[in-house]
Amino acid sequence: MDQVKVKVFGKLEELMGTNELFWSLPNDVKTLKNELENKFPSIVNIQYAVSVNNKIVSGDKHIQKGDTIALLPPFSGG
Amino acid sequence: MDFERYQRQISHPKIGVNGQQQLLDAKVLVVGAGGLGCPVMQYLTAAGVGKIGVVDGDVVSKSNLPRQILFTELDLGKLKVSCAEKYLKWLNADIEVVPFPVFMNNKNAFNILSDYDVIVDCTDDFATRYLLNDACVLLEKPLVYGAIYLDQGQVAVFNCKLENKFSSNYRDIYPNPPTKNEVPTCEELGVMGVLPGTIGLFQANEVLKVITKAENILADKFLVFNMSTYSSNTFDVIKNSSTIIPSSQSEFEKFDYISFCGRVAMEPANSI
Repeated sequence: MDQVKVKVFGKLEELMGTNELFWSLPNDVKTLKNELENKFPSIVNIQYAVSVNNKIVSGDKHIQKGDTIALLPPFSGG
Repeated sequence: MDFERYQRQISHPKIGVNGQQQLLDAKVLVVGAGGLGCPVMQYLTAAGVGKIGVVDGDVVSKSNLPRQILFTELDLGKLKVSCAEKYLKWLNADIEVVPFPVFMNNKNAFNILSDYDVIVDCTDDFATRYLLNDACVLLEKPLVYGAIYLDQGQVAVFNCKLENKFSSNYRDIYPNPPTKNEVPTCEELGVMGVLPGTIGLFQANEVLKVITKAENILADKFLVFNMSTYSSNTFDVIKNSSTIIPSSQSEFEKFDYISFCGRVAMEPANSI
């Protein structure tokens, strides 16, 4: 099955209970976010940036087989 | 130039006499004298950065001491910027330290920032981070950003002029702040002092690189470091043409950063 790797950072790591998971290939970033929110309802309404292959991208970015995604919530501590 | 003091730095092939002179001539503003700000100030002072401004309206409290290691038990209840000025001058009497015993806001930001070449974001709340970002874009100043969460830290250099173009800024990654209480603070979550110590030194390193025009500045990059696993991930950031920033000083001063960053979720905030 075609998959992508999803790396998870910050608060999302706690909410999703993992820092890395594999997910069946979504069409684009927005679809991936919706699918993840269905599986992990606690991340609904959490804001985060998304990277594809280490580039921060917008929601309509197409995702391909073998891509590595990162979910990057903002930090405020100092 | 005090050659005896700076001998090891001058010997470094990437610094030399020229680099040391650039440091001595530099003016750096550290916003926030907390867990990130303390190591930033200490290392920049020791390295001989000529003028260091420090902005913080807070006093030293006991719970600061495990990570804000510029301060001692004798400083409890005293203004952080006054303590910082005293200790930094003891460390290096050659440099100028300018204390600003205030919290930065959109009314005082332009005045305070105007005299400095490099701004360091060592704050601990989103409202100040967004307003610092916007002020640095409007004033065309590089902003060395650091932020922490539990065992992880983020570092980047925003709005840095390289090859006549300004690099991306915080809003290119996070156009809008999270909703209130979405991201817990260090106070709520806990933090070990070694994390801001490490991330603060990453920021100090980027300040030195910006001043000496070194290679590999974290401009158009976003570093996330994990203190527990030592893994580090660096992401490319590209300018987002739809990013909205107040267009002038007067627009900036009218923008309500407190309510912008304290808004209640009306709709899913994560639509990117």
